[in-house]
Amino acid sequence: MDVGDLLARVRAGDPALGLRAVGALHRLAEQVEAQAVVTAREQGWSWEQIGDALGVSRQSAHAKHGRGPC
Amino acid sequence: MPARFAAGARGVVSAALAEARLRGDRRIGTEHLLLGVLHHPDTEAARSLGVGLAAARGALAILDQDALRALGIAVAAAPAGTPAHDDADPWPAIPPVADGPGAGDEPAGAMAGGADLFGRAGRRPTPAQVVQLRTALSSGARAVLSGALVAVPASPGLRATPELVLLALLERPPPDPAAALLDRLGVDRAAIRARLGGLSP
Repeated sequence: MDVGDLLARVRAGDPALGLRAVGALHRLAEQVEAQAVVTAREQGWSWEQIGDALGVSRQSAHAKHGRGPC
Repeated sequence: MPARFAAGARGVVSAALAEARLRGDRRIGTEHLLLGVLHHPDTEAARSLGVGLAAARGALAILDQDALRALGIAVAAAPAGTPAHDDADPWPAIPPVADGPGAGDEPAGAMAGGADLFGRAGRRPTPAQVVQLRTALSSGARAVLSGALVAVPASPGLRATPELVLLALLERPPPDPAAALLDRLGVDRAAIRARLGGLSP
């Protein structure tokens, strides 16, 4: 299945389901981000490198994840 | 307005904030308020629901999983937070207000200081705290909390309670997230209304 098929399902489906899927993908992305940041820190990445990889500032990356279970 | 919440209802909102963070959501929605009620199993509100916090979290995860599967995305979603933080109470997830560099331009920053959303006990919240709370609540959650307050006569001694928050949640029509969760859990709204009705002031 490609992205076109996926979008066709969204177009044809129940919008409540489609919108919930958006939320679910966002929540999944947050979980992946949190774990990836922990792993990167463990391997010595700087907050600046992590921020660049995530497309946010060093300060934003640190403010969001710096207090986490590192 | 928030000053008129009883300690119990304040606890519901604070727990809802912790649940929103645990799930990776940007705002407190009505489904988080429902989880917030279940954080306080000793209340009549939580007892009347007849389900536990873990079951409700699991139901939300299933709803997510079903929505993704409808799009052809197969991820067996564990309830948010269970793999890494299962043993951790979500309460420590609420740190004291930290105005570190960059705080405020991130979703997490918008909800920083949640434990203090209502100001200190017995004191009116500052305007900044009220703005912060509005940012952190979805429009549905705002309507629920307003509804819970409307049910309280404008008398200085009366406060909104977890029971009033739950009764307001029961009134949410689909496609509200709490309505979807209540349906998924098979909650009998009429039975809860009958059980809690006598508690309304």
